[in-house]
Amino acid sequence: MSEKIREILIEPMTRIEGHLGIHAEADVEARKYVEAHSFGTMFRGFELILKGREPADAIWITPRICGVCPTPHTVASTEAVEMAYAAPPPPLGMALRNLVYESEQLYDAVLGCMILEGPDYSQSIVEKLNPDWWKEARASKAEGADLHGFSKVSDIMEALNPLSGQLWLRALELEKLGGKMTALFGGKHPHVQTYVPGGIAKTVTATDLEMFAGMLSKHIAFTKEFVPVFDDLLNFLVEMGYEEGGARAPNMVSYGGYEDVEAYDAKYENMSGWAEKRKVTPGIVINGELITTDLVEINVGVREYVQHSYYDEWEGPEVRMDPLMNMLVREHPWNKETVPRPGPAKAWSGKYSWCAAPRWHDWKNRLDGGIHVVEAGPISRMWATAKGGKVPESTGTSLQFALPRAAVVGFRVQDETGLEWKVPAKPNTLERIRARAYFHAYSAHVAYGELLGALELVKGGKAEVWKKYDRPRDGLGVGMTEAMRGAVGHWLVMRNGRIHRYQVITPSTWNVSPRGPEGRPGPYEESIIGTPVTEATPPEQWNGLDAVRAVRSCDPCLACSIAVYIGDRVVKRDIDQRIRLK
Amino acid sequence: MADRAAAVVAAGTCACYGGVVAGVPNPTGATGVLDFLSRGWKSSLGLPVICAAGCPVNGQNLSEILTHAVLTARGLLPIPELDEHHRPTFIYGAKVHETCPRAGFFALGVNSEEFGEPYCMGLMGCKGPIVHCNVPYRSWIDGAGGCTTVGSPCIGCTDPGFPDPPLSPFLAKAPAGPYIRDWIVAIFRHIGAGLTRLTRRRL
Repeated sequence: MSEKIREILIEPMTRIEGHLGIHAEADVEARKYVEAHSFGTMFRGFELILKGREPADAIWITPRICGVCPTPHTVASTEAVEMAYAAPPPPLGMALRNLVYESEQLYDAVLGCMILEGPDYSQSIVEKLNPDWWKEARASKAEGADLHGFSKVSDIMEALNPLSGQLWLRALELEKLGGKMTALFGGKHPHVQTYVPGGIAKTVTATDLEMFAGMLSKHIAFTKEFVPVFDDLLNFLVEMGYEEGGARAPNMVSYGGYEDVEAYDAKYENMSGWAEKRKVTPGIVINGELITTDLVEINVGVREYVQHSYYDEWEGPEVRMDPLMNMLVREHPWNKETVPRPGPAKAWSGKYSWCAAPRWHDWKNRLDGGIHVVEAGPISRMWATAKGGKVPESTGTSLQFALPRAAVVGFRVQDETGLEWKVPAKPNTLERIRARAYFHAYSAHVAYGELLGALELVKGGKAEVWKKYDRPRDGLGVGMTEAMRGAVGHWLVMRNGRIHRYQVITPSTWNVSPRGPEGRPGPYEESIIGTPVTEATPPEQWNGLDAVRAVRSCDPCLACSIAVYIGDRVVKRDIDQRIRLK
Repeated sequence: MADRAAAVVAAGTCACYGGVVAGVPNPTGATGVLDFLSRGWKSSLGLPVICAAGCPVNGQNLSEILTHAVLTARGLLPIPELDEHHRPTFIYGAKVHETCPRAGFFALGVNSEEFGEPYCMGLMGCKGPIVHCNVPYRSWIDGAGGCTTVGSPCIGCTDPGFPDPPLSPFLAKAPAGPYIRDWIVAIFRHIGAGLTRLTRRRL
């Protein structure tokens, strides 16, 4: 390695869930990252555990992929099973499911911005590693001081200090409240219990709806402080010239979410129609432009490659067409088989990750008919929704909405408040975080409308929450929705009433993707390459802060595993129960 | 690390017993702390592995189990009584079925036949009679939630066998054996209690 290049290895990526590693190389003279590899370091084999089980069991097993954003897995698996079973829920059943799902997003946005990403911009980090920023922050007035009460940008940074900062501590309380709202109709959280094919297993009472309204008003009140806090912090960092941090071309995927309770019928044949009525619009964005909002087209274009991942290729395609007679290729998740093949670590030119490489194929040739590297996350879905014109809040260049009046003890802003999220020039570290904060506000706005809708249904006598169904023996199902971290999809092939094949592509799989078949880097890798180094320490002491900030802006989450590793040896149990070191 | 630990508390069913990732066919050979360290293992202070089961373990349950372990380590409380799967009985002593807020409906023989109904979930897949957990009566967070409480069947996430049969398929009815046993015992107890009502008051 030449002296001009500083090699940095970050493994594990801490603060959330530690099965992600980043290998990056920085040019010392240009103070810029020039090379990056991101890799997943574990394998659990959920797809193999699901084989042969009753399809509905996936609703309870797949959320356990991740305890941070489990509910979107519940949503995706329930919709996949409902499609295979032909078992749509009644409107109130769907409305309550939406409330559970929206509540989790409220908890998760606060967690992401304040606990997982915020500390990277807190006094404790900035004062030490970016002293010039700290000096400026102490002299910079916060524009939204009237709303959030922090007079200087440095006060916000101080409030983000882990374990002691005012915002950091308050975030814990709001997170817990989001969890409680989820548990109200979900039974528990993480891993909500009540989603069933055909509706929700919840006895709904007036008490529940009243309790929910009370808790939601706190999140509505909070978001009126939360968004201006992050606007002030992020605008300051833009002024500090951090726009190239984590930047990549605006190529993104959103599956959409927050179902329309009347339109959803669980039929693939009608998916293009009902998915476009979601409050979060599905879409593929290439070079900043929204090229489609058709979820069937998005589904058929999904590919998963394993050239640089520890898996073998598989036979196929077994499922040659979707129910609308669109051709499916072998790399489509309805056809993918998980065949693990462990190999040497950090072989950058060969296989180096336990994560596969998802790509999107422009199969209808809307742009170039090419295979695209797309990133998932709040910025992707806000972008698709703002540009899509499918919801009344969408203006084509922004998302404009109002939060109702809410007078709550301990919160500063009572009045109705209008907010506007504007489509930025490109995704970067700062804009990803901003989109996450605004998604909190948008989710609170949607949940409020949802609650009014649920009350209307109850008043109109449409109080059923579940509809009986007959289980067919064979079928295909797909559930595509948005987790906080982005697009999550579940693909189910049912044979003889059992799971024949089940595939999941999580949002972090899109983002952590290693090189694809054409050798092009995945979204984390692209985000790191070109990121400036802002650390004020000498190059030999650089610890990768800006690469970490870029990756953390995508809120990486690779979910926990209980395989025990000791260095390069894996502890395995023998059939005779003795422990041996392999 | 285990050699120097004052106490080992496994948090969550995967950590305790392997849980979902050890589900058949257990592709990664995953195992929980209890089997990894063995059932006879004792910490330097003489405590066995303590299992805070649940997927996930309820937050309040975990806090109370950890607090108990600390108080035990400091000599302020005795070693907590554990069941055969090393779960503290002050949390996991009763079956879901015994303390469920809907148990009264079961006793009266009133069952939900559709999701959304407020009665016993026993015919809708509930595994309450074979699972030990306090969440239904404790609620999930500050009075909100609780699996059978809100109307969903218990799937047995606090048990060592989770997620395999007989806990799954989750919507299949629980084995009839435990229900019938409970039912026969209950009939005799009801007769006994009924006869007692006919005698003179004692207090």
